[in-house]
Amino acid sequence: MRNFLKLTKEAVFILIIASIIGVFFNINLIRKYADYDFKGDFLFLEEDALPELITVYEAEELWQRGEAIFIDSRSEEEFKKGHILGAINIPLNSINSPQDLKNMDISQDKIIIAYCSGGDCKSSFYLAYFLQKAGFRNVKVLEGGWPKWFENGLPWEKN
Amino acid sequence: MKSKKYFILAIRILVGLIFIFSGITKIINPLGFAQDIQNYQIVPEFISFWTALILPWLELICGIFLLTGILVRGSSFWISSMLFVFILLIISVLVRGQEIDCGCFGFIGHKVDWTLLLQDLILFSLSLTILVSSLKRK
Repeated sequence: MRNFLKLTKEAVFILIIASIIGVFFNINLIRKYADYDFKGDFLFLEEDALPELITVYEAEELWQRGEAIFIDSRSEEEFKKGHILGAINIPLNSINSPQDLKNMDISQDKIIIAYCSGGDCKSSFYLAYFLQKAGFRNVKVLEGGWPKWFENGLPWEKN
Repeated sequence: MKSKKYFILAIRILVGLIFIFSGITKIINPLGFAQDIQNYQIVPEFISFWTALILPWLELICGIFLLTGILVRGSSFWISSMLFVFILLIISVLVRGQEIDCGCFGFIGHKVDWTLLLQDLILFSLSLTILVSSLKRK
């Protein structure tokens, strides 16, 4: 009986130590986990998994030359209120896996620029990540998103 | 009596080293391990995440304790419990006919198959032996 009591004490002690070290060692991952909704794809949280950012000026140049496809990851309502001229709307909540994007008619030859509502919005990152996983090689995320594009007086439309 | 003592010492070292190695391979890639757990399609996402952060450290600490002879009761209890759960998971994967990586040693991929089940059953019996002998100790 005494040995079972000792066993319980030791087991609880070991679990506490492992939990403290585990949490402390992975504190950055826990913060990211709290910030992102990554639909069960844990590898999204890896440092090098996040797509590159592109500034609004670089994006505009590509837009002028017609070398990029802009994908708006915001909701349909937000998209209708105003979006980058020629952008297509793929709300993040309409995508469940990279496979869904493979089935869409998106050109593989152009640079894809995903954007959302700027600031803290994360949906363009998920969308870009899913696009990469779906096999699109040149995917970027627009820094500052839609508000930055709009503030700079760049071409936009409503519908 | 003495030979039994050496036998327990030998399996403590063996199981300890295996779990130290197993823990380290997971600690260096917690997200990969979380994904491996998720691939079993048994627990919700947040359990996969938290398990991937804590279980590798539990393996490492228990492995070190077994190797060094500290808190042998507690560490052999955890190792036996973990192996028991792993065995149940392996059986469920085999029964469902899934083809997934076991996630046992991080980057060293190993598919879930009958040999893995056999390995874990052997390890489980060894760790139970350590646990029982530690409980008999005064």
